[in-house]
Amino acid sequence: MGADELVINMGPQHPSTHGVLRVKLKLDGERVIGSECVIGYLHRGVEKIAENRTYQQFAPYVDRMDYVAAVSSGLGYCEAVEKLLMVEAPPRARVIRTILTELQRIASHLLWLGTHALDIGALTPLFYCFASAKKF
Amino acid sequence: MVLDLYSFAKNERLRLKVRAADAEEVPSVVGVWPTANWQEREVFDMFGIVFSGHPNLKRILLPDEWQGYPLRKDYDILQQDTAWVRENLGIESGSEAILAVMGRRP
Repeated sequence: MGADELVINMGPQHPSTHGVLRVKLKLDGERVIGSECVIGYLHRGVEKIAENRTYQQFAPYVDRMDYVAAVSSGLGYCEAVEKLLMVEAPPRARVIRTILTELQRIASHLLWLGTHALDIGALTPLFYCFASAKKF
Repeated sequence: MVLDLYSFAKNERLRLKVRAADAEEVPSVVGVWPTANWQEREVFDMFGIVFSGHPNLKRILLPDEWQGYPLRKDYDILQQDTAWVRENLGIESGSEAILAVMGRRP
């Protein structure tokens, strides 16, 4: 490590912040010359929890994997279970699933866009994104 | 060990299965696919499989000092590294702690 090099710690912030992680940064002045990511702050061990639950009991857990697109992860799980049980959802349910997951896709992308802009210092896009998301 | 590979350029899939005995090391593929780095760390963290030749094989989700590999089938659902939890979180955990609480119920 040179005389001008410095190791600083970035994060972790509060566990409820999105994408919480810690980065150990190696700096030369303002230039980042190395980094090490420390993750796992939101690890809940859902695979282990699932081992002790019935198919129905585990459904709420997958809904919480992405809180702005709960139906999307829920649908992935339900389709996997349906495949295992060799059953098929009726046409009306399939249409409802498509409508819901498309709406969730828009909502989650709007939240991503707004908060991403916020994280790099732009406040205004967040309001536009939230205003659009609320229309659904 | 099962590796699921996908080529964007060729739109082709390949599933590679490697048998490993208990405590036997599996060669790392990080030299071929750098993105395998974190995935192999997760497999090591959860199952205790050692990848020989991995550049930085340490736990990725659980604390570095954690004892045991939770996704192994012989790792009970109520099992914890009770010593780690007691030392770092200041609480009792694991099946014995839960049975103690249940025993106190009227």
